[in-house]
Amino acid sequence: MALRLLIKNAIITSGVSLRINNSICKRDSSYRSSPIAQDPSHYTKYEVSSSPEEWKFVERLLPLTIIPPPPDGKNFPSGWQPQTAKFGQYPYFVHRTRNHMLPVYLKVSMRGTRRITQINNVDGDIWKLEEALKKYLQKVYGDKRIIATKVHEVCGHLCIHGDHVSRVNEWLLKKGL
Amino acid sequence: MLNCLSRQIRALPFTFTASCRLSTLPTLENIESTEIEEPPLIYGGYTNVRQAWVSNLDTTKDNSSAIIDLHPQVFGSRPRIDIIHENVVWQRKYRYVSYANTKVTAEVCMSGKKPWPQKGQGRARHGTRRSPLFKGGSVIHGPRSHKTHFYMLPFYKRVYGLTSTLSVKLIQDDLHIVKNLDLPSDDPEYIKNLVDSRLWGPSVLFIDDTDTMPRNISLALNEIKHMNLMPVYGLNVYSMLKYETLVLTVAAVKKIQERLLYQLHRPDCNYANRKFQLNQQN
Repeated sequence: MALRLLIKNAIITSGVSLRINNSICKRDSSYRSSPIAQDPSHYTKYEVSSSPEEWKFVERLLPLTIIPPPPDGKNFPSGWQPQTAKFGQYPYFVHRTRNHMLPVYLKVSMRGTRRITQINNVDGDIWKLEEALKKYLQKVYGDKRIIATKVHEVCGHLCIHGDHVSRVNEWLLKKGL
Repeated sequence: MLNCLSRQIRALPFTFTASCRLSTLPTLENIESTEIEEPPLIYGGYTNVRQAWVSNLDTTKDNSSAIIDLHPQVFGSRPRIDIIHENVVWQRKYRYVSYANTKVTAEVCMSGKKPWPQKGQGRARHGTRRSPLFKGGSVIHGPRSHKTHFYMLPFYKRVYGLTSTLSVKLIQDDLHIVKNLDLPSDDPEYIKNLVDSRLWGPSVLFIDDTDTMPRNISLALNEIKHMNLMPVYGLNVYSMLKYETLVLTVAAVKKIQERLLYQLHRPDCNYANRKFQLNQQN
């Protein structure tokens, strides 16, 4: 440490390149071992601009304050699809999440033995949605499989017993929700 | 009535409307659907934009002539009663410190002398009266020191607590909106009569967007113990439930909506929901 400080002081006073110091101070570097900042002429040159044309590029870099509306279009490389159904088209409606994704989640509990598909943000008549989804899942899996559901009407949550996330997603996307 | 409706204020330019999922608002042209399923159901008003009368405090009689639009995500959200309860429990606990404490054997203020000789008395052997076996002695596994019950509720539980409580208050007709908090006099009887005549709850919480309140209402409410004033930054679930009626000014509504909608739609929500640190700035 003493050696390093000595070298650093020597460097600062003499103004030699900082390469030696950097090669020494690597692992346990602290604020004392880092070089002291000098006036801007020692660093990269810059000029101050007030052109609005150039400010556009700065704005592009600034973080967003709000999640923007989804882009227009149909086929995206990620497979994401926009919500095309309008409120009022069906007696029920499923709002997208703040990130414009489908609010369908898999809740795993009881050490992975209980799997529940949960649909949030259900608006309108949740019982109609339950009926329609149940009908669709019965068609997919056959009549023998029991599709048990739980409806939380106040919060707009619909839970289906079992892992049906991709089936439910498919159905919702087909409906344009 | 129609005249009043026509004069309804659209005083709130929802800056966030564009991106705030206005799919919640039914559009007329989509009503005719080709589906076999039944026509739309505006369920319990939740799906619709919420509206409220803007009343005044200048006169005892209510002359509300304007209607204010309230954002459905803030004032018409699906109430999560479990989250409201979690908020109340959190607000009671985070400031609670349990001062219960007991002494261990070494701390008991008592003589350290051996109570009686080891042998010959026919009594049980004991080395000290401070032991937990004696009356006035120490306590085994008792509470030690002071215990804080501080914890932080996840950020979005706090946000949803506010939106849920505001929605519940509005739907229960316990939320009223006024133009401003200007009173003609600083007499406490005036505001008492006003609250009685409008059938507001006995306890009322007035909320404005600034913390420098008008003189008359401050002096009047200073005399009344069950009515209170609060700035928007003090809005919380516990107080909203403690006071039966919530009275917001138009400016307060605007500010609450702006702040809550920002929190509901900010892209860096993971940052807001990070683990709480005591030296956290925001």
